[in-house]
Amino acid sequence: MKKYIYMSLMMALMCVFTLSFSSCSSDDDDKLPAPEITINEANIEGDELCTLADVVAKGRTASILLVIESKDGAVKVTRPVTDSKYIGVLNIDGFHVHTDIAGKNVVEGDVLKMTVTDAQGLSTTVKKSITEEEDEDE
Amino acid sequence: MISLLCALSACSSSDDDAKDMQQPVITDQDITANPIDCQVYQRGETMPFHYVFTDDTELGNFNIEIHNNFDHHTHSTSSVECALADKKTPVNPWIYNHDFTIPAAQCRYDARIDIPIPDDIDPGDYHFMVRLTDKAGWQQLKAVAIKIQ
Repeated sequence: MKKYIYMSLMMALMCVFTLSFSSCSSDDDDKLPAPEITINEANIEGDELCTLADVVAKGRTASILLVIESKDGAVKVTRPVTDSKYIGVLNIDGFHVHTDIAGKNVVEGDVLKMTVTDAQGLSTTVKKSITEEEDEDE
Repeated sequence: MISLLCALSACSSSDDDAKDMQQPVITDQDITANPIDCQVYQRGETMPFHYVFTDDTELGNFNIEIHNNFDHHTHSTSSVECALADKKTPVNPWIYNHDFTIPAAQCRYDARIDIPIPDDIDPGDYHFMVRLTDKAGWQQLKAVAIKIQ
């Protein structure tokens, strides 16, 4: 009986040591890839800039930032996107945000920079030249 | 026995999330879904949203957004093309954006939401967007083109 209790205690101790040293395997794995962004549209529509994009973030989206700059890099508009539907997700199909640009002198040829940072702290920034709304259907 | 319990309990939740590699599904299977492409509603009436959500592991939450399509943009989730009214500048467009939770541990959820349509909004073409996110973080988008008269 004593031998059985002794063996059980030893097994329990071994289990605790094993878990302590190994921890969860995902903690030790290499980081997941940085977010991937495809901007499909950055179009001036009256006093708003319409941004359409697709995002894949294997490390889950943590923050999204839209910045509009002139060709020479002067920042005209900064827009953090905090909608809960876009944060904490692995993918965004059809990211669609309208940004107020009234009085900001945003013109065709300016540059939209979209930055997505994931929960690991990895960031990706992509740029797209801003277009003007078309008057007629193609 | 103790070893077995340890092995089974270690990292269970993170492993479940890691195993979920599939997006959730927004389906109209076995129901009369609402809204559907090109459906017409009247200002002041109630839109009875009804779709079924499924996931292979566990559902998370969903968001419904309605915005105007007066500029004729597309979201490319439907092959159906509806006849669009002429382009116009929004004056008082309908903007609806709400998050909804799904009870825990659900792999199938019958989603029904009654959405009142304001009676003072701009009539015209609108997009009805449903974003379904599963517990792991995979998201599915369904965009439906509707008309408000």
